[in-house]
Amino acid sequence: MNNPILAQVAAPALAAGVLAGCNLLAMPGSGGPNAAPTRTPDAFQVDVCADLAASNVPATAAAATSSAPALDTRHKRNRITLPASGSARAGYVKLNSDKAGDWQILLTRDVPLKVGDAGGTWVPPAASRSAFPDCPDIAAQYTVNLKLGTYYLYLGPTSETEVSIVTENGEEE
Amino acid sequence: MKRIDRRGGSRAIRPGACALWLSFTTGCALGAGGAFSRLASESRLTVALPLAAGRLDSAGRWVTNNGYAVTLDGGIRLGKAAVTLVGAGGGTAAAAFDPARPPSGYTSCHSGHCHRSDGALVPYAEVAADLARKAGGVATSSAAVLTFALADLALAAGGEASRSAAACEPCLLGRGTIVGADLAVASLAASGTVEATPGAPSPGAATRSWTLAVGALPLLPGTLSRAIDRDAPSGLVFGGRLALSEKLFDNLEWAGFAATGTIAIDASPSALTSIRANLARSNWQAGFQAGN
Repeated sequence: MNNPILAQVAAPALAAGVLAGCNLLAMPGSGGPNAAPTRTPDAFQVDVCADLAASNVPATAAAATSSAPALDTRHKRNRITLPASGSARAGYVKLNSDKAGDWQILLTRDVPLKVGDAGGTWVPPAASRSAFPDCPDIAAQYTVNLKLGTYYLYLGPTSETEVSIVTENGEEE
Repeated sequence: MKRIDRRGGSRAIRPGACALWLSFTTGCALGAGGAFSRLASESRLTVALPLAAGRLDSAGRWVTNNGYAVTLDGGIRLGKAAVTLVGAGGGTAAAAFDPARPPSGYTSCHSGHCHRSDGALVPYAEVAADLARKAGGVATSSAAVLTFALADLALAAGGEASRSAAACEPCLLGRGTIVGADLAVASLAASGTVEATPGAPSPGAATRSWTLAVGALPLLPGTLSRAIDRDAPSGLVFGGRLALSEKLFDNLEWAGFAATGTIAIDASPSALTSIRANLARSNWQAGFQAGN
């Protein structure tokens, strides 16, 4: 089964079917009225996985902010190639924030990330997360509070040659 | 059966235009005098340019997402607007929308919305309505076209204005259901100045003048549901509100234009594409209420 989400959902269902066929449904924890409620997949993670699967916008990170490529912030997978930087790989991409508020920045590799504004001031993340049971393609999530305007994401240093980025800001458009 | 005396249509828009009218039903071919309702003269279109608080700087300039401050000379001018009311006959069932099988143009559906190919997240209700109109099962056709003259309108940043309908064709509506109201605007024109804010690449001078002329704007589909039957009021007032996107100038690379003279935004294909994509993010809502 290629779809990891389907695999997660389908595996318990198959197991329940096998148990039903063996007349074991009455056993505690195997189904019936006392069964533990089925966990609902996290909608946000499912959303991001859908974005990752449905789009591919390639770009190469730049050594300087002045030539950093702009991310497509409309629920798209930005597949970023990381250029060599000394003995590692690193580079800048640009995020043009069209909405003030919390932005979620999701990475498919656990690459170090720093966010800076157009004036060069770093913006510390308000939260971060590294466990995504409903979208194993995600490796890291950072929440940053941004105003309207240009921000730069510095990715690296890392040994990874590529990382994909999806951004979400709560807008459904 | 409630019928409208077409000769007594003094409140209808341009009564002479109503001589020809089309039934948009699939199972009921209405003859002359078979209209169930009429578009009222109070039908209006409101056009707005709402800006969130952060979109205006202390000098009242329109701020973009990539560090530019834009002013408008007078305001945004729009060409004629036409609202096509889309009718569906009641004889067949709507094509079923199944989130497990995203319709063409959508990549996946879950959690109450579908991912459209361009990245937009569209609520199930809109997808279902779109499917009903496009994918068969329900015959649709233009039930009427309302036109609005907007030439005298200059929309300032944060502004709003309304205009009454100039004409309808036809003005009388036969039995069926109105399921859509698609807005077409013939043109958009504007001019003004642009300045870079600190950190943004210079557009070539401290202040540059610019002009913009866009032909037919992207069609904005509207979804609604209004039954036209014996219980419908004899007069229906259409009301629509177009809120132009505050992101109109977002992502424009102002530093990429020729370094001297007035910037003609639409002369750059990539800039025009960006403007048109941003225009497609405008908000369009439509509905009906009973009139006289």
